[in-house]
Amino acid sequence: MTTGKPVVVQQLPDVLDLDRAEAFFRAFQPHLENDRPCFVFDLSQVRHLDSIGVDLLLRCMEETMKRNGDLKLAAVPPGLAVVLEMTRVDRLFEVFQNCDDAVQSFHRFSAQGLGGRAVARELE
Amino acid sequence: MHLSAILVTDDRSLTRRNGSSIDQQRKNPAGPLACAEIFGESVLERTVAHLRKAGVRTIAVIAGPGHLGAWDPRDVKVTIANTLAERRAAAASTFRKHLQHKISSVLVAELGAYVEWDVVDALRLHAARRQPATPLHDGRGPLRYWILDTALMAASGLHLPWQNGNVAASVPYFVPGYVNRIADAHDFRQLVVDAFMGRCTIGPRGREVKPGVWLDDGVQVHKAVRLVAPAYLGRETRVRTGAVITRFSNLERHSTVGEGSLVDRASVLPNTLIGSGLDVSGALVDGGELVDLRRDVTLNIQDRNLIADAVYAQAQNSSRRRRQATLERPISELDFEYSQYLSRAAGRLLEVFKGEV
Repeated sequence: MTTGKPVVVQQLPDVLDLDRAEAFFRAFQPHLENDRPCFVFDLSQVRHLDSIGVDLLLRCMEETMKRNGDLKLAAVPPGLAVVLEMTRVDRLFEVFQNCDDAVQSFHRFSAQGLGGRAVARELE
Repeated sequence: MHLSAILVTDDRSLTRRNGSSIDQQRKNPAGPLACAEIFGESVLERTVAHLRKAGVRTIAVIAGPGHLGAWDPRDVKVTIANTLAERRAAAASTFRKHLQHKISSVLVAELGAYVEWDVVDALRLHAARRQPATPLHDGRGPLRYWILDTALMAASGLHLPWQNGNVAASVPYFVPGYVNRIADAHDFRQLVVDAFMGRCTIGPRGREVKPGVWLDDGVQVHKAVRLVAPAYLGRETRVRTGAVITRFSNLERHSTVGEGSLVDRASVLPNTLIGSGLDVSGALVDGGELVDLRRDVTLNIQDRNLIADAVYAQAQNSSRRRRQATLERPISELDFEYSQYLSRAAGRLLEVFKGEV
């Protein structure tokens, strides 16, 4: 299956305090007007993720889902992956090694790109 | 060269059967893993389809009661026998009939393993070796598949491979393709993951509604459900509001996931009810039985607010409604529906109303 929808890639800031999270959400909102909006959040620069950052991800996901869109994560540093796992938020997102794989996943399915290869490894 | 096939289901089950009254009443008892469905079809069905595609026209299936599930086999001779010993005896009888019909080679398989193999190539090698039986092997050993030469087997006394040691001296055919022995729930889950990853030819039925998410016919998914690829939802499954189906999970036909429940890295077999507000991760669920893969434990859960066999739960609901109709005091004002704690209390309250306490 392939789809030709445009995908918006947004890089999250290195520190997600309350002000920056709100600023990011304001920058994110206009793209929700797209038909079935598709987002990739690049977390490669994020140095610290706490409940504010997790809340931001969930808010963005919720707004996207209301519009029948989808939001995926890319380039999650290992430390942040622990936080996502601890808060059980990791199960709500497809997580990719890099943005290219994440963008491609909106057009066709390839399990190879998924960070969820960890699931496959778990069973091997 | 004419090849026929005799497929026998074994007894390696997902879960134990303890012979309790619950199990006896269960309408959809756990069967062998080879008969459990993956993406809408069991290994048994896929094996028959594979043989048909290879040109095998005469296929006999010898299975236990309930092993065939929803499968309605066409042009396949089906024999039902309770125990593995009885199924093997039926296989021997079927083999003799194939011999009488002058079929030169017969594939006998005890499912078992899921094997992707080149039937024509294996048959060619078997013919070249002129031995009574050619067992199929992979790198880990025998797969319990044998190609038998009817004439040479007749000369050796018509004992099928599981009955004699002749096979030990035979030169095996090594299967180069994908193999999964499906020995236990771990193997089953590995097969599901491998299927999602494209490592074998098993593919989901239904429509790919977004990359990596497949929905079969009749699926009902609330709009506030999160489906995270890869995921498969089988025929007539129901997923209630707020639920999450994620990370290599498959819900097979007629399953239901309750409000707010999470299914993560899990397989939910046909006719299974998952209750509300639950977290089912790293597991295989079949009716009221759950295999936790991380802890390697199997649970039989009889609280249908958690998990249940859909057919059995429906029968219990009908029975409970009949019981409630005979109570002197109406209890319709008590809403037990959404809280497992209230439901357990409800069981106690029902006893009080009936005057049994």
